[in-house]
Amino acid sequence: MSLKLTADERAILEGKEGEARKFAMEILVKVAEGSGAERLIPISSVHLVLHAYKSAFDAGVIAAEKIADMGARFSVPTTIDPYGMDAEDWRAAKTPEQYAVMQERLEKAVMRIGVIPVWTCTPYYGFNMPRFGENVAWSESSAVAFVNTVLGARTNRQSAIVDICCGILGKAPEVGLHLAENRRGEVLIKLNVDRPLKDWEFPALGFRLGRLLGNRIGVVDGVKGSPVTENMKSLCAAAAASGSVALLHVVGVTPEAPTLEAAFGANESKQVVEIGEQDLLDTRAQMNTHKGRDVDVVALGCPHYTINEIVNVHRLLAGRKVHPDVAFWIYANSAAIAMAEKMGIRKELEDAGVTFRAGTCMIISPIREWGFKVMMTDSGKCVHYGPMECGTEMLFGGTGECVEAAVAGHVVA
Amino acid sequence: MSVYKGRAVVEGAIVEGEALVSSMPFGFFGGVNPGTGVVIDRWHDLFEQNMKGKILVYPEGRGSTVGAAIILELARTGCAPKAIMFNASEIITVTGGVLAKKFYDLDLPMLDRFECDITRVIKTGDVVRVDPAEGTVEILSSK
Repeated sequence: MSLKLTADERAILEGKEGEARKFAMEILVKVAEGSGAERLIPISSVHLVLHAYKSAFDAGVIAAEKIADMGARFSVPTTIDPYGMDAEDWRAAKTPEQYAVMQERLEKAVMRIGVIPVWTCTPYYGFNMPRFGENVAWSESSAVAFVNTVLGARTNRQSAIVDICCGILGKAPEVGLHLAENRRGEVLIKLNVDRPLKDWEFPALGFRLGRLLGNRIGVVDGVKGSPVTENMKSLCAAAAASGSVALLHVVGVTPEAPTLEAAFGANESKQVVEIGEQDLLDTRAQMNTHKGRDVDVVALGCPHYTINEIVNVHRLLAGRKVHPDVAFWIYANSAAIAMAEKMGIRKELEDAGVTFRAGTCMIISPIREWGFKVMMTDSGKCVHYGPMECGTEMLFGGTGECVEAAVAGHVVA
Repeated sequence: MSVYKGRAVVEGAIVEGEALVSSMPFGFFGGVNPGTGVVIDRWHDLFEQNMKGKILVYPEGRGSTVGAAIILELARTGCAPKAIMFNASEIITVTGGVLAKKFYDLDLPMLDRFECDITRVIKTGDVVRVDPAEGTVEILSSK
């Protein structure tokens, strides 16, 4: 079967609704044909990844400007990933001038198309939250994995610039995870840990699952207790970064997996993998690319920290000061930071030596200017990208361990 | 020499070149420096290899959804591979090929769905001819 367009869609392709919509439809049709879609379907929101000069480069900025110049406008709510530099004070963050110029050009272009400037990788906390079964077209690998897994909304891993086309047209190719039969489990993961997972074990499990699954759909059985959404955010982000995981089923936790049978549907498990406590410790050891205990920077908030996570750091720090030789940065979106400010804990944390980096993150903003050699984080996604995008060796631990390292100036055994 | 049949998921003119082959999934963001074509992914078996002007072969795409923008920058800087072949294509890499044509009129053909595991039959250093119209790759000479 090949792609069939409706009369309205063909009219767009013929340019009857203007240059921008024609351009968007031409790209969407090519991508739909390549992915084997038979039709386009309506989607109700989009989340974009042409957001930071660090990952868009000149070509991305030029592309966004070209699309804006055509007079393009989004026809469905369209949010966007983190800003490419500290949104409050890029100079204080040592952002190179030329980088800032390009970031501001990119911002202007996407704003002209009508983006909702949430500047966050977690738009589902408070800005853009699809319901169960809703078709959306999102980029940002961690957010795609979260909304498919935790909310049961339906999106493929959309792609930079195609996401803009989806936003302009309000449509996406009907393939992959939009179809119920493609959402069933393929690999069974038996988790042999007879207690609720510790906070660091969620990203470690995600990191291991990403490597193991690639783009296959895993069904995790045996999770005890009741993970909070922040745990699921860490799990999904790590699995999506170390592999291509776009959907996980966690039996008894996620909405499409009330039971093991429901998670697999008509599928037979192609593979069964057992993961125990020792496997998670082994994964943790692999995630530590740095073998010493010294730390230059503790970086939390990949994906963006929620207000709950900021409150947790405030509690763990318990009035102590950050070691003068360690930078301690928290990345969060403007809403979480505003809430921390209202609560008075932003000031207390800043007085203790913590820096808030607003609306951006360590991976997609310039950080090499600081000369950090060793970064510690509680994020499996950050561990994956850090060596390439921050130029640092990585240390991984739970949030509590990160806080202790920040206070002591080195990893505390 | 051997000819393998697949499908052109991104079209383009016939190209010949040296193959750069990996058995690991690959993602372009955090994967390659688009200003040089050198692989920067420390976790990857192609680390420090240069993909510029090569026929890049790997099993499937992975990782960040911003990968298409990196491919577009590779097209702009002239450091893109000549063609990409994989067992299974995905939307992010395919988009990169579509955008390279759209914005820079660059052919970056991509072939997938071979009848065999393409990463096992082609070796790094093999000289191959990719014919997108026929959906074939031919090994012209082996190292």
